[in-house]
Amino acid sequence: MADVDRTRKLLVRTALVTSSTIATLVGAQNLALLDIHQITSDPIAVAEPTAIPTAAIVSVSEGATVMQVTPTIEIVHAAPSVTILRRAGQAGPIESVSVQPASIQPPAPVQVAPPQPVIVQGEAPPPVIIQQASAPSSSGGSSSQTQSSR
Amino acid sequence: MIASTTFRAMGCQVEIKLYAVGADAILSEMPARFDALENQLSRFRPQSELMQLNARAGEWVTVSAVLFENIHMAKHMARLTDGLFNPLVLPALIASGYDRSFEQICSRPVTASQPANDWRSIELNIKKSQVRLPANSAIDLGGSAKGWTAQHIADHLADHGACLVNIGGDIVVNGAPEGLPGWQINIADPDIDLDLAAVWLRDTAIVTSGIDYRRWTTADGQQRHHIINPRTGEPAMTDVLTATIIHPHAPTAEAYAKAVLLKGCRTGLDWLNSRWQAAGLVVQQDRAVVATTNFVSYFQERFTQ
Repeated sequence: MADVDRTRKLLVRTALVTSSTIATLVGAQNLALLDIHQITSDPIAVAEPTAIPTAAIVSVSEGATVMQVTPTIEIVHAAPSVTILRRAGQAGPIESVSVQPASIQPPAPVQVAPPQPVIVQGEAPPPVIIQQASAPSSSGGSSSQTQSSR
Repeated sequence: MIASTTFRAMGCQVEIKLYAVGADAILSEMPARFDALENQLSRFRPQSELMQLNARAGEWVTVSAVLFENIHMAKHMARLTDGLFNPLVLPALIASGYDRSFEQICSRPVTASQPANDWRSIELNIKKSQVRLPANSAIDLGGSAKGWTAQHIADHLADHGACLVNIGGDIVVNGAPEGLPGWQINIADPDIDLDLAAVWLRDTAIVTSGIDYRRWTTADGQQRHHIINPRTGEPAMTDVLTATIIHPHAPTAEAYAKAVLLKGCRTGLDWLNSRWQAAGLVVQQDRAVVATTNFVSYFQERFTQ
């Protein structure tokens, strides 16, 4: 008899613990749902909206057709691949038709005319002559250098 | 200090130039070095290692490192050109009458030609340095050995200084002469004793192959030349007279030159444009000159000095 009572007590306690645990879990879940509902219903004040890049969500359903996502690449020759250097029937060296580098000329130097000397004539102050001696001349060495680089 | 030497080897004129201290002594060893390489690679020396290998076609044969490297490279060239360069073209070449050194060719009737064996049937065992040729076949390194030798010698001389190695028009240059942007290489006009153009090169190779030379007439009056189409076994029918190729690797340049010859001018140059680091110039049989666009840039190098 004692064993039967002990077993019965154990079952009752186990049932109590289990039911209280389930009740706790259900209650906690309900509270959490309430919180979520409150959060989504309350507008959130955001100082400045920022664009957040998000990955595209691909919905995959069973039996969906798999699309080929790799594009077909077509290589197109943008430039001519061969150069005719001499026509049929001609003779002699082809140097005359060879491509020579384009002559690149640096821009002409800006001609900065030195300001006219300011001569102030007066009695008290002596004449002041201001001359910009370092200004480049239009007929200076850089011009001839440009010629030589052609 | 520049030194130069010229001598005859591999059936053509060899020219070597070297900027280096003690260049004379270095170059004096070159004829013997070429002779040793010919003893390994020539099909015109009956006792050469290559001819001994050909005599044992169908068997595994242990070969020297030089011969193994050349055969390995020849297979690679065949792969690069989809078989248009084929080291097994020798039987067809012999059938065509080119059965001895070109200086000794005499007129004799042409025998029936046949396509060359598949180059893939050459078997290599790299660990044992062994080669097995397909039975009843023979290998000819005439289409690649000159380029390989020029590259091999130039790479060796580059340790000493700027150099140029020219083996019958297969040219490898390393470095540049003092004060110059490169070595000036003149491309000969196949018709007249003038240069077609000049290019400036350094650290690369330039090779010309053509049907304008090594031509002969057979006893039955047929005009033959030494560029054989491996797929037919016949001398190439092409609109290309000469093909000049620039490429950093001389044997590759040789293989590409033959491929362009066999493909024809436009198809060949278009194909060459898809090859890495290759540039080509073709003189057609009608004497038109066409080049890949990147070849033209080599004309400009002179202006950079």
